[in-house]
Amino acid sequence: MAALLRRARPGTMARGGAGSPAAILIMLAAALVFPLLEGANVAVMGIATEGLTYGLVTLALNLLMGYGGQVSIGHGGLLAVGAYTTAILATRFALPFIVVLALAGAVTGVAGLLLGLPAGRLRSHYLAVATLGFGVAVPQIALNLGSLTGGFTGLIVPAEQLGSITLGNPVPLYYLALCILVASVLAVRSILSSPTGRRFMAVRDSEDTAPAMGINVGRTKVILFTTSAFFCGLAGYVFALNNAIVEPGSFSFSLSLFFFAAVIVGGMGSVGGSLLGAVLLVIVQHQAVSLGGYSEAILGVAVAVVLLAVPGGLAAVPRRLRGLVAGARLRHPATAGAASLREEPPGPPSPTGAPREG
Amino acid sequence: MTVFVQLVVSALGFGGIYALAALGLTIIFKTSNVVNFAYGAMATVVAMLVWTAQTGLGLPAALAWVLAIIGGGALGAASEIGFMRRVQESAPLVSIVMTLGMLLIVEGLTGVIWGYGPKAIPGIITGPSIAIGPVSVDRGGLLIVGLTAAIGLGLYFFYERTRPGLAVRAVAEDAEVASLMGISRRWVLTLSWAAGVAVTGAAATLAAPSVGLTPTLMDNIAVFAFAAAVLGGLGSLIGAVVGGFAVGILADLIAGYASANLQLTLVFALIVVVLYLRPQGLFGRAAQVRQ
Amino acid sequence: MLQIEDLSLSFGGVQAVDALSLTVPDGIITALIGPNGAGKTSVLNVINGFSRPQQGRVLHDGLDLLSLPPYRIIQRGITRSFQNVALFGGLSVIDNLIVGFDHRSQAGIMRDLVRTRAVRAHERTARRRAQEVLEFLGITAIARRRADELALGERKLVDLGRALVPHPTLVLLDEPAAGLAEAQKAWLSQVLSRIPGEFGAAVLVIDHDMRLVLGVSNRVAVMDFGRKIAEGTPNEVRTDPVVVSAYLGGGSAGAAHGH
Repeated sequence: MAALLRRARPGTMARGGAGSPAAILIMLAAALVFPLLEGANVAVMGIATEGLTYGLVTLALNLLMGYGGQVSIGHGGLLAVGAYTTAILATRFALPFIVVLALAGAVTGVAGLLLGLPAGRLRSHYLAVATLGFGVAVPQIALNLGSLTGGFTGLIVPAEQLGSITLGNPVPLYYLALCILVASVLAVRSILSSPTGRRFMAVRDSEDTAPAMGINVGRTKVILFTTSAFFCGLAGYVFALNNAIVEPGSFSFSLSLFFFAAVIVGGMGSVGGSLLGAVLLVIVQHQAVSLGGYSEAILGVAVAVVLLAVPGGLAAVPRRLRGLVAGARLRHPATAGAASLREEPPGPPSPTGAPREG
Repeated sequence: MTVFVQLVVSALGFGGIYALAALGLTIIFKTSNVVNFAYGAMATVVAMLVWTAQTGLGLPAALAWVLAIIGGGALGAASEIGFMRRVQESAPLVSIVMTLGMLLIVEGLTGVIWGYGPKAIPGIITGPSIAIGPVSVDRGGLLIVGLTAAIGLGLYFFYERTRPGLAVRAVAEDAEVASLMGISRRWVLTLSWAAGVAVTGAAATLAAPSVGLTPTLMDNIAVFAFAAAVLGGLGSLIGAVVGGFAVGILADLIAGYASANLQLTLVFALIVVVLYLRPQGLFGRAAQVRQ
Repeated sequence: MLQIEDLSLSFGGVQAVDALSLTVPDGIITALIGPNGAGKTSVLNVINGFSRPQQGRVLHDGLDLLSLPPYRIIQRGITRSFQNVALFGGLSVIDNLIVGFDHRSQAGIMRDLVRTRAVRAHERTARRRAQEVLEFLGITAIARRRADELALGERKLVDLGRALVPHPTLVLLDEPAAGLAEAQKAWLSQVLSRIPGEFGAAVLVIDHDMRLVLGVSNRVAVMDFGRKIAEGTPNEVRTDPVVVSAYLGGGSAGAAHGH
């Protein structure tokens, strides 16, 4: 299990790997420049924005699973709550977009709170099944509240205006989504290196001993679910505007399952990894035409491979490659001596009590 | 009142299917402490195999069934040997992830191999419904209930009254002691997975005529059967059967008195409430709630 | 001062603690010893809030600890280390120590997110405090290592560090020397004996290593079958015939001598 959670320490930048400052800057630069190349292609921009949406969801799910140690195969349901909230508000009221965005997050956060209350008492299998039920129930409820949600046909989401910019258009929406994603990533990193974040991880690592450190486990779990749900709500906002229509059929169990797989394959417990997982998911989904039904099977194989051979997922690949290289260098006589000096031999302090200097 | 009774009676058919599927899940959980999230997809494979044997190869129904059930068992055994065995010692989360990975693989490949269009599969029993008083009873439903009862009792007898059954339970309770007694844990696990998939496969094949044989045949049923198994308490045979029929009846009542679209939601709302009050389900053991 | 009054705890048909009364005075090291299964860890579990006794009171400066939920015990200045260590494996060593200090920040997620002045001050104080404890224990070199990558000796010290960071008034130690090599135990003895002086805290320590425990403590209480059978200074207890016979007569008592 610990192997599954190999990750960068929050608050300290990992050297290399998907979480390094260099990698993040590169990814950010690429993301900023992208519309300049493909801005005219509506379909491609739509897919790119969908990738950003998925990134928000995998970020939220990774917070819950990788950093919080819980399980959810129902995050599609939370995405649905955010999307429907957005659609309902946008069709009935003329509100500034930032208000709709905030409410999408808040309402979904409340849904997460309601999910987290019973979920805190459940462990692993039961929790997984409960979240599965949640993920399946939300679209069903939407289907039934026809007067509010448009039932089977759903709701059409009108485009919002920000000054002279129509947010529904591909390029502005892409940049908006990018801003939301970047802000969310910064927010999550901030939380993780604070007392709240440490409480999440303490509960993940040792739920039974956490109370001895003053942690109220039940309350921590509820806060965790609520926070994860909030970010899903933001994703729902982007989802609603990107698809222009919100209907129950978009939120099947398969979607929740794909999010789950994306987090695992990207690397649990790594923010960069979750983003990589989202990218992978979008690629696989939209190559489904050429891959046929194999896209699902490929994702499944990727999950199995990560579990059996590459713990830490895609995010760990750079570190593993470096490890392979370092191993090769260690075996080379010329560099072996230098390398072993860098290793700190683990062991007890010396008997005289003098502290060991590294 | 008659409406109520009729609803209950017509629910027994699907209740039986849920119970049967939940039994398959329970057989696997009893020995390996793993919820096989891929069980619905694996069961669909069994139904597909029946179709292939009957329609594709022209074999008689009984033979087709037997071959398909054996095929299902092989699939279950292969899953255990190829995948699950390697994560047996890891944390529960890892097993969950592995079964979800298998779900993706099996579901994806089923679509590729058999295609997504619905296939015709004949029902086992045809003929008019039997009338008992004001209530009409579907023949197919009777068969399912009978079959479920038979399998349920058979399993109960096996686990409680036979030596191999005792050995299986021993492995589940304390693998070390069991191996000291010469019982191979590996074999027990593999056979459990084989049997579990076979039983759920039977449920899928029984359901196929009414639900329609597509790769997503078991999607809805699997979810209801989960609810049934969790409600009854994971690992409890009685729980699986009681849970299955309870969920089936409840779902039918909801469809009859409210709306068919609310079935899943209300069933799961009930499950969540039950789990909140009794985290181990109705018949489950409290110890199983811990990781 | 901690006062255990008439404590009885049984579970699964076993009487783990039987009408035990014990005083743990301030500022000194008290040892709780006894053969395996004597109920020592159960006593710590009750103080900690992990187990609920059928009967009895645990008074800490007048307040009955049993009236508090487990996560509030640390606010009374009572901390603990664990027999099976149970560190927060995914966190770094220094973060493991800081977790114990975090109960002082009730800021909540919103303020943590924006890093208010109070939150930033808390982080600085916590980090400084953790660094102090690391220096005291002599393990500053491993501050940034992941906790689950450490060897047993290091993990035991981190576990101890976790209990020392929150400015405790009473530190409960459950088998801190178990599994350590001789050199490590010597260092541990030194560290333990300095705790009351450097931290102003009382210590209640359980261990099977007689030499270590009797060498370090000021007072000793002896348990057998859930009951207290002797109490006094290390020398008094060492020569008490009741104690000697309990160790020689009990099942796994042989393992209790030395290591």
